Amino acid sequence: MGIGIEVVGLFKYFGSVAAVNDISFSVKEQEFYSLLGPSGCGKTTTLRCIAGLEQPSKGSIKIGDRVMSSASEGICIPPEKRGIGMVFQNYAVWPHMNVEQNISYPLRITKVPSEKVRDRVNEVMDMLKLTGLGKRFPSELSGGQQQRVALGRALSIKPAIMLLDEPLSNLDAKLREQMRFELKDLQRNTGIAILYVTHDQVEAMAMSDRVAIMKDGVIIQEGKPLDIYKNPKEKFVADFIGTTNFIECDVIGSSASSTDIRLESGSTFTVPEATDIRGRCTLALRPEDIELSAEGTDGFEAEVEVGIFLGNVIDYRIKIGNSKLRVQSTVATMFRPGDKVRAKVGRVVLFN
Amino acid sequence: MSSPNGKLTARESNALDMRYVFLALTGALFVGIIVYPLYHVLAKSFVSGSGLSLANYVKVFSNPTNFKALWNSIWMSATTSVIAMVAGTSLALFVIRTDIPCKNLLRIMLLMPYAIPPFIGAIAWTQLFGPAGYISKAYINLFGSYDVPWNIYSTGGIVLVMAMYQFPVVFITVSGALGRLDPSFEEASRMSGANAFKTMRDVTIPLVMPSIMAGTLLAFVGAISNFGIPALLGFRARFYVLTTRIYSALAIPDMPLATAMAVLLAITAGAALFVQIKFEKGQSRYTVISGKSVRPQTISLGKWRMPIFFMVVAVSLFASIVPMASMLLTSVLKYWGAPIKLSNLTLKHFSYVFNLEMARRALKNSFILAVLAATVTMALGAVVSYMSVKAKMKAAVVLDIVGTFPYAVPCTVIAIAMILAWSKPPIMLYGTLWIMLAAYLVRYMPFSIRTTRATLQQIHSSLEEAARMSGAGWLQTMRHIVVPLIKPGLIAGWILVFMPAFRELTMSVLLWSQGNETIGVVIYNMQDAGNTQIAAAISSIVLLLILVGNVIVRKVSKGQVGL
Amino acid sequence: MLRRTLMVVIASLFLIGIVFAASAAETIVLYTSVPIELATKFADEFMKEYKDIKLEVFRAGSTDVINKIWAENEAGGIKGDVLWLADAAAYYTFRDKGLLLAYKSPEATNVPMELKDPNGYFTGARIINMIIGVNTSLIKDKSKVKTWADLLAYGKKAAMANPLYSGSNFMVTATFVKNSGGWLWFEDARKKEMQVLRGNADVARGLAAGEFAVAMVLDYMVNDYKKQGAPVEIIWPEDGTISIPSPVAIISVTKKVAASKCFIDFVLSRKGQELMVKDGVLPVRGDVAPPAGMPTLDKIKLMPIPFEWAAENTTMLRETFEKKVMY
Repeated sequence: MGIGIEVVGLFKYFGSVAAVNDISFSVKEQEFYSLLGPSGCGKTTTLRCIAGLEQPSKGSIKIGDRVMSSASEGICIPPEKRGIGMVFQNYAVWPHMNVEQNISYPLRITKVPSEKVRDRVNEVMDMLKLTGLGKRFPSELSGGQQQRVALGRALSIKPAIMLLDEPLSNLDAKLREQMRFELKDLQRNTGIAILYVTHDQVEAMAMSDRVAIMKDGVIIQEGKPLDIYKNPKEKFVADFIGTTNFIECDVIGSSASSTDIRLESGSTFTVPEATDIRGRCTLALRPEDIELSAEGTDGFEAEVEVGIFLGNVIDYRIKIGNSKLRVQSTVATMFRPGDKVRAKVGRVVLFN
Repeated sequence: MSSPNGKLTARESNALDMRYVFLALTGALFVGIIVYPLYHVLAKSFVSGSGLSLANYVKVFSNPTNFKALWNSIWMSATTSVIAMVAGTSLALFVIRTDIPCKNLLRIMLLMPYAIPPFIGAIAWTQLFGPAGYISKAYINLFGSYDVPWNIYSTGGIVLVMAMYQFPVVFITVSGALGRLDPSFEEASRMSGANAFKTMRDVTIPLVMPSIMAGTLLAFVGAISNFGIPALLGFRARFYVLTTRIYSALAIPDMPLATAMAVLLAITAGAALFVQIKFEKGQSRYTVISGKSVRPQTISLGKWRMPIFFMVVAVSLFASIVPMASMLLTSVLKYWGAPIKLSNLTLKHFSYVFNLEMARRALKNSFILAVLAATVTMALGAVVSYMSVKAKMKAAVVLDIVGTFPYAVPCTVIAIAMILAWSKPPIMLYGTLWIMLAAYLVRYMPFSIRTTRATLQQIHSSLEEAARMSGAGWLQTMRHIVVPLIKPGLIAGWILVFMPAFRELTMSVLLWSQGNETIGVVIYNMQDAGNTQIAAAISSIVLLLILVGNVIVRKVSKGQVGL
Repeated sequence: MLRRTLMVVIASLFLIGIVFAASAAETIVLYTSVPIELATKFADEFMKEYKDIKLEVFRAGSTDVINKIWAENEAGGIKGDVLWLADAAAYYTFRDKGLLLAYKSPEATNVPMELKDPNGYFTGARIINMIIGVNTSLIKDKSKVKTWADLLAYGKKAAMANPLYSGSNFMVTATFVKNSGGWLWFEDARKKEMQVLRGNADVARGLAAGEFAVAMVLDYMVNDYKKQGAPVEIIWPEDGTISIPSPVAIISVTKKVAASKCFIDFVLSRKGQELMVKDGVLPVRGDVAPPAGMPTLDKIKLMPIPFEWAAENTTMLRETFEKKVMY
């Protein structure tokens, strides 16, 4: 145990298009690391380069202290020699083999003695709650069970590294939530490093020790989930992570701990964030960071357009000038459409 | 493979070299088997006397007989395909779209002529409608006349028999499109106030029009490339088409003339196929194909239901059961034309066939050829399809095209290519069994590539990648994952090549030699020399084998392939 | 799948091996236009007599066999060893081009002079007569059909074989054209749509089945159908039967001279001739009785056949026939 991944200056071209455009990051031992981004951002390609399923155009990949791929040295270890476990988006459970055969395949192919294969398969099946399903074929399993078989197959050789390519995206919502916990537990219990690829920010936030946000083949921001959530470096990140309102505005003054803002509608207010920006800027506001009240002088004045009761929160859409904002309020009183309210702003981020 | 420092180089390590070896071998084979002989036909057609010239083509167009054969080929095929279009489309509409009973059975019966070799069908039709045929005799007895008012040995006879073997092509393409047509288009038309008939006329038929045209053009190509029917019915009618003229030109032998006619035949068929592909693309552009073949709503025919049902039954009986029954009857009659009664029945023709060394040899030859053709084409086809579909190698895409190209080349032309390429040193195959194998490989390569490609496309690449991630090398992945997964498809494809190869006539009749007869050649020669009953006995055996083969294909492919 | 395919391939290779192993005995190849049923029966009997020789039969219409011989000769060697065609004229050409091997079989002494080449390049082996066949259920009054010209009255219901394919009909064509000095009969036949089929077996079959009322056809074929119960009769035409001595010969390039000679001996032997008689064919030997109900040659009015002229004018005859009748 105790092996990580190190990617340095990775490029991957398809024709003249750079799917991965100079990416560097490292996954530490026992870490749960996610590549998060919209489809086509290059996250899966990066993963496949690490797996050895794609040959990088430039850059190097190290697992532990073994160079797996280095374009400059002309090295590219074939996937089967990398000792990595991988779970595919569509599970790729072989339909012509039963559960046991699927899980034991990596062991059998490396010529592990058959008693050991049996022990390990039973161990993995116990761990993944597949006991008793050994003789079933994939077509006789539910989606969740197939998912576990795919996991079991990846885990059976006790890899130091596991790559997961959107493994939960084909499951229904309930199962997905449950699997998140199970994956996290699994990683904690086995102590392996996991590189996880997803477009689902909730998934990434929930499980990862660190997240890298990708767009157009590059990593835009990397860090702990909460840090990224709180301090998105770019508008894109703010938009991609959680729900964010964006408002065009002008900075009209600032101090060490606050900034004065003027909206297009003319109303002005002060936010508790310092900034260097002057003039035109974009204000990013999380829905839960806006507090509505019937009266007061804090923040700005707005009009309620519609409010939907969701149980734990009320989801409002409010209007200020030409802009519309989403607000999630926990206040017990429910405003009606047309009500004039004061919107008090908590944390904000300002972008150029 | 490791270099001294334990590192693997990119080329060695990625098992890419292994694939390139496979691909290079296949590529070399393709050039040798397909490109080289076909190039010969084209080249030879422009050579006359000492140098390059158009003299051979001038000969085709200046000799009225040859020119007439070209013209005959075109109009015979055009007429045939129009009849096939009308029959195939209306039968498809009736069987797929209306509420007539026994639809599944009718569908199978209507597809059956597709499995009967056309030349065997032509023999059966002469036994039915020929001057001494069963139906002709019945007519003469019924009306006490001296002769029948029809003549199967005529252009009309050729066109009708040909149409009988081409309409299933239209039927298959049109019923496929109809089955996938989103019913809401028709429902919308009914809701707009159109009745069933108007809906069919204004909505259904226009929407499947590209498929109708594509099927019709396939029928055209099938007709113009056919040799057996115009050979068995046309010589007596003094009606010659390109395929039969090429056969005669080779008997003289006038090779340059044969090649010129062959190139003209290939151009005509190729042009038709080119347009056909356009239509096929056109059909897929209509996004009406939902991919599901659920058909909840059918048109109620009302009082027309039973009359139309009986009409469809009559057509399907005539297309399938009747010719086979007449073939079987002929094979057990004492002599051709003997009155049908118990005392005139005999199995002597079967026992003759079983004792006839030529027949046994032909059976064996056809079996060997078909087994080898099916095995080799499936193996090469699988390699090419894998490399182009899965490995996405550019060179493989080129091979894919090269391997599919012979589909547009009529069999007669392929046979000529074989004679030109393989009857001189360094490779002398002419006069041996292997020249027919070479021809079969060219002919059936497209079948193999098509089926293997379709099979491989259904297999997600992640299944392979999962094996690589599990520690399996490329060859192990092939052995443990890819081959087992495509096995049913490979077996079905194998049989789909085996069956037509087993009873092939058009190429074999130009390539066979003493001791190297095939079943098709023996049947053709027997019929041609007047041994109708021996031909019928062998044909019955072949038909039986085809039916059994079909049942096996259906079993193996779980109803996906076969009739 | 792979394993099974491999097994099939191996099995096929075995089969091929067996074929080669089986051909260990000396094999001679007969190129012939004799109907396949007759030819195979003959081959079987021959192989019973000569156990260490295997006879393979290549059977096609005379013209196809002749084309094959020319083509193979061009390509460096005829693959057949013995030859037995109906087109007697072709033998003159073959002889003159040196394609035949002279052999005076001891059995040939019983064959009349006019049926064999004086130097032994070929010897008549069976006599086939081109006669008029009638279907008696379609023609109740046989006396209406007496001469070759009477055939023409039946239009589509009359038939003949194609001389471009059949050797015996080529001989008929040459004889008609030479004797009448022109193509009138054929032109008339074309006008009245007489049916031209490929081979004589095809014509006989159609006659027996009632496809045709009358036909120009070979005598023994009509006899055969008659024996099986078909309503057919032979008419010996008043203007003359064309009687063809279908000869046997040895190909000069054969490497199996001894075995080939055995075949010639067998065909001309009493046993061989009696075999043919059983199938209704007239024998060439005076000491073998003709089939029951068949007249001997001296009882029939014959039309003289211009063998040498036919051999010299083969191309002209073929081309003219094709032009006048086939289009």
